[in-house]
Amino acid sequence: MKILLTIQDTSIAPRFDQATEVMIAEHDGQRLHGEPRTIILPHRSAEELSDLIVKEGVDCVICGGIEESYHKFFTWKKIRVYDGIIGSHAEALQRFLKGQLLSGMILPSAQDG
Amino acid sequence: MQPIRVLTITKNEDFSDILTDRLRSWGFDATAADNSHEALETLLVRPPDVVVLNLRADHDDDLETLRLLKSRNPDIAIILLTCKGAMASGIRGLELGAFDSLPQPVELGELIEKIHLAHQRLVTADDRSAAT
Amino acid sequence: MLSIDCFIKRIPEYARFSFPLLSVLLTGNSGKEEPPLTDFPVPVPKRTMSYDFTHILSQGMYPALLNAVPHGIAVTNRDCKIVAINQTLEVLTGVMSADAQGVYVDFVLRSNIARRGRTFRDVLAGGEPAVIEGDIVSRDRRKIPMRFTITPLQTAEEQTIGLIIVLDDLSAVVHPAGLEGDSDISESIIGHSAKMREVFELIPLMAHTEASILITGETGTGKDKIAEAIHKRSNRGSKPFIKINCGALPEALLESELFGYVKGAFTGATKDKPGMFRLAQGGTLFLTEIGDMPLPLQVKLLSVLDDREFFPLGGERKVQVDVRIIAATHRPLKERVAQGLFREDLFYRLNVLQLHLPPLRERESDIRFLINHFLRFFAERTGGSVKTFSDEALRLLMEYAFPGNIRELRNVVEYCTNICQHQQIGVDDLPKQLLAHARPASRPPLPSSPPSAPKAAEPSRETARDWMSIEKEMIIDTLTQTRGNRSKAAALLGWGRTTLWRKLKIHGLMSPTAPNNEQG
Repeated sequence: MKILLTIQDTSIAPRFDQATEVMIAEHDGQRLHGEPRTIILPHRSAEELSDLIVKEGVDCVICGGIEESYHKFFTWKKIRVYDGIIGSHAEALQRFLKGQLLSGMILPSAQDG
Repeated sequence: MQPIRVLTITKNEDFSDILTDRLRSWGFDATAADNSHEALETLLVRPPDVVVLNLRADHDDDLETLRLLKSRNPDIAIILLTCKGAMASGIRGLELGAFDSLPQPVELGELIEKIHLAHQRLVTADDRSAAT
Repeated sequence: MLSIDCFIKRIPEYARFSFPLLSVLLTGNSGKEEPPLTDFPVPVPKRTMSYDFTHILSQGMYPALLNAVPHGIAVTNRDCKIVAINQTLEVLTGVMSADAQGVYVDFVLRSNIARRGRTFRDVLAGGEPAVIEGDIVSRDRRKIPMRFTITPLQTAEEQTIGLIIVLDDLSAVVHPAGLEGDSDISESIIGHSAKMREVFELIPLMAHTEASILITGETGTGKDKIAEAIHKRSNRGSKPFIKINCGALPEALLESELFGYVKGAFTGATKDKPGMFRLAQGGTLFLTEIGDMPLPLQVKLLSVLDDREFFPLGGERKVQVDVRIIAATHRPLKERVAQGLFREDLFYRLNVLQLHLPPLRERESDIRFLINHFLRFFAERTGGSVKTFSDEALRLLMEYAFPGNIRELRNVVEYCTNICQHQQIGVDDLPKQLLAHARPASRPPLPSSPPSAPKAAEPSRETARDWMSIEKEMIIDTLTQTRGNRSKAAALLGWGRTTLWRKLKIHGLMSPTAPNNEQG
């Protein structure tokens, strides 16, 4: 399974449509398989990012603020979205694998760095 | 071992910020140039080992930058970042002497690999010329 | 010592009262003859390089001051980490101030102007405030246009210790949510909640058909505004929009109002008077309180809708009618039909398209926006400064069920601004009905609970269902109008013939025995 996180430096990017970097990781629901890949987007575009997500066969997205229309689109495509996440992307990924991630969560790492 | 010096030429402030940040966190001595003038200056002052050049669609002047760099410094390794619908520029760039090209959106891991490869090529060439 | 005079000029007029006070409290003196504030402790800040004013801002009067301004406010330190945010911003972002502390400001604001923090760093370095227009993504996944005013927060020694970011919601004033280009409507329609957005999505669809519309909803939910919006959006928009309240007049008077009369029709009829149907010619006739229309008039109305012509009172010549009908009612019409008070055939004739306006208590955050809107509105009208509600009063307002919906909310705000002699409206200034009818605890939870993915999926299914049935009804009605002529129907609907054909198939409206040849 593939998960995509929109990132900004070491944290989850504040907004889906403003994201310029993403991390894609393969996992089996409990552990990562191999190293996550980082992709740098040439411009901020929710459309292009959505395209990428679909093309890559991502089945889960972790991001910051996302507009309803895109959220609906992913839901319709059966792609799980954890939005409104604030914190480091490493922690977000960790929590996700442990099944402890919820939309809107502010992770402890949000207050660091 | 000295860190590999990388110069990114992207003309997109955010893109260069992120690219150079990430490359630095991976141990490269990365700097950014906004346009060909800056790039040429950097070439004179602190010549990089590898250049990462963003080829934008419908921007022939980006290829010009490539030509200029190569004419100043024929040994320099240039990695092109091409975008959708601009395959032709990519091919032209390779003909003009670019080391390799990568399609966008660029994956950091792949870019790093290419930079290492490009640097490797340089080093071997240097060694060879030093040996003769 | 802190002094905040530097950015007072940047804060909108009516917020200025709070900052001199803030300055007084923080510095201990104001430089003017002000009475000492003995009720609140005056903190003595330590002189340290990294200024820790989180503690200060959570005490005494500061929370009340920050919450008094009807804009979002975020206070950050030099690292652009949040020190405090006010209630308005808590509602917008869904993040509580306590949880936001120490978090990089844009993670909470979710703006498009931060440029990876550069915007804030530029203000910190340059010392000059910046005013930038952009947008945020709110807790409920809406992109809301905002004006950001970013000002350095400085000590009296002009040492910059942080930033104050004020967020001005531009959508309520400049771009009414969902209704672009309708700037000539007297008061913009405010609606950010999910239910109102569904209504806004239906307006253009309803505007582009000739079908009758029935707007339902409790009193004061804005049926008039929506009807006018539909009219303006339609191709009758430049023609008259005539409104008549069918429940306000006695039968005879209503009849003459609607259909007009000719000279001599009765004693006192000294000349011809055109009725509303005539006045609305080419445009839209809006019949409110249709549920109260007397039965005999319902009969006449039905025949007018069918025949598209009528006789004015006492007249012998028929008047042709080219009017689009929008009706509104707060009464459950089906019940009145069951009780024999409303004609079933008229009900179906009017109910081709139905639009239901949700009551205010189902519109979540809209109450807050509307309160702010009315506070500003009445302040402008009286030429006074904008008043604000105390925490306790606001809480009661948010919990009140508002059976009279927006109209009642407006009356309440107007009443409060008139009766209250001070800047802040307290519980004592609230009308008695509010205190008597505080809502039971079964209210939906406050926006502080994060939304989970499954909940968001529901509205999309709802909207999808409505659209399909609306489109189908639109097609049926149009075909009825054109008596089965598909070319004319397609033209009326603004579609090509093949498009209509395709949609007929999709909606299962093609009869298997229908002749394949086009009519006309």
